[in-house]
Amino acid sequence: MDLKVKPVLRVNDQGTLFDPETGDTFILNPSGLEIFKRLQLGLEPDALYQELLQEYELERENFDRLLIDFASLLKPFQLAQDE
Amino acid sequence: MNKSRITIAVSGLNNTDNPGPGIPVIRSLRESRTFQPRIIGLSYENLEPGAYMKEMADKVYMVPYPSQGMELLLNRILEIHAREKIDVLIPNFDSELLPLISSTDRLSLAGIRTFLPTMEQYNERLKSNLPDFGRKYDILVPQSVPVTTPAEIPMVCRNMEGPYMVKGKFYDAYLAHGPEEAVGLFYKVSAKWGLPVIIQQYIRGTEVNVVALGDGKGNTMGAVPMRKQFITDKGKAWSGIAISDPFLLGLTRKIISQTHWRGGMELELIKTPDRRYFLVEINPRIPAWVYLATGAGQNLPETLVNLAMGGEPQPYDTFEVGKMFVRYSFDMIVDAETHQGFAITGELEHE
Repeated sequence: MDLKVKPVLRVNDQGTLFDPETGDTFILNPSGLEIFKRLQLGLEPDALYQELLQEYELERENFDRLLIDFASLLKPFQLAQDE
Repeated sequence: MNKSRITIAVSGLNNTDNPGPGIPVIRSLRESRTFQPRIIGLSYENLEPGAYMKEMADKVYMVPYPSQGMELLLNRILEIHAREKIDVLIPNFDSELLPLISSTDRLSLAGIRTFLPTMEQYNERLKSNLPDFGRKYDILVPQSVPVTTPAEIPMVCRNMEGPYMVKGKFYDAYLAHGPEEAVGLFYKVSAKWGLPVIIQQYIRGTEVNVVALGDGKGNTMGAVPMRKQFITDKGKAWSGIAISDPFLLGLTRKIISQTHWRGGMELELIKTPDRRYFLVEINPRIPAWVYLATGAGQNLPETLVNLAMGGEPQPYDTFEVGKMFVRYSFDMIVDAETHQGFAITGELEHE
C-alpha cells in the first residue's frame, strides 16, 4: 500500500495536524506523528519500516497492520489517499 | 514616509453580540500603512457600544435611520460633512446601502467619496433574486422563494424539501421545521425587516464565508475565506479560522470577474459533507469579521479607501492561513453625563 498524504497539511512537533483548506485540526499521538512526518517526506512503506526499525523494535506484520489502521483514520478526512 | 491624512466616516458601530462591521473596519483603517485616518463614527442609537470606544472614532455623530427617510439621513451626512470634510464614507448597514448607492452622485458632488456596488450589482444578488443569480453564473444555490403573504408558505413548503430557513430581506434567519413554524417566523421577520420574506431550503453542512474586495473592473483586490468555528444563537461567527480552500477562492474570483463587483462583499456558503458548496447569500458590504483578513495580512478596508480616493493599490494575493479570530465581550465604564450629552446633542468627541 502506497499512501500519499495531502501535500498542504501542516503538523507541528506536538502532533497538531492542520488542514489549511478546510480549517480542520487533528491530534496525532506520538506514534502517529513519527509515521506522518515520514509519509510527508514521501517515504514508501518499505523505506518507512526500515527507518522505524532503526529506532524501535517492530515486527513487519505489526507495522503493516498499524499502517493500514492509520490510513483508515486519515482517508475519511481526505488527509491521505492511496497512490 | 509622511502618511496622508484622510477623514473617513464609518457607520455600524453596534458592536453587540450581532456586531456591525464598523469597529473592525476602523481597527483596520487605524493600522493603515498608507494614510493616517481621522475617523468620524456615525451612530444610529445613543448606546451603540462603538461610539464609546475612545481609541476608535475621533468623533461620533448620531444619524437618523434610513427608514425615517433618505433625505433626512443624507442631509445629516452633508451637515456633518460641512463640519468635518469627509473624504470617504464607508456605510456598513445593509439597510443604508441602497439609499446611499442611489445617492452616490449627490455625495460625490459634495466631495464625499464612496466605493459601493452599482445598483445593478446590488439588486442582482438580493436574497429574493438568488436563484436567478445561481443560474446566471452557474453557481449552486439552495432553492429560495420570496413570499409576501403567509398564505403562500404552505404551497412553497409543499414544493421544497424541509427544513426551511425563514430569512429577512436584510438580516435575520430562523430555522423552521415545517410550514406552521415558518408562518410564525414570517410574522416575526416581516415585522422587523418588511417584505418579502425569503423561504429557503435548509442545507446541512459547514458554514464557510469569504470576505473580498472587487475593484469594479473585474479584478479581485483581496479575498480571505473563513470557516466558522463557533456560532452564536443568532448564527453569527464568534470565532473563525482563515482557510485556503481553493474552491472558495476560485468562486470568489469568478463572481467578481463576471459581475465586475465594486466594493466589499461577503459570500456565505454551506459546504455539504459530500463537498458541494451552496451559495446562500452575498452581502454587498464588508462583514463584521473583516479584521481576521487584516490580521491574516490583507487590509481590505485600507485598500477600499485607497480605491475610493482614486489610487491604484496593489491586489493582495496571499494571506496567512490558520489565523483565527476569537471575539469577546467587554464592559466599558462610561459616565452618565457622557451618555446623556451624546443622547441630547448627538455628538461625542474623543480627541
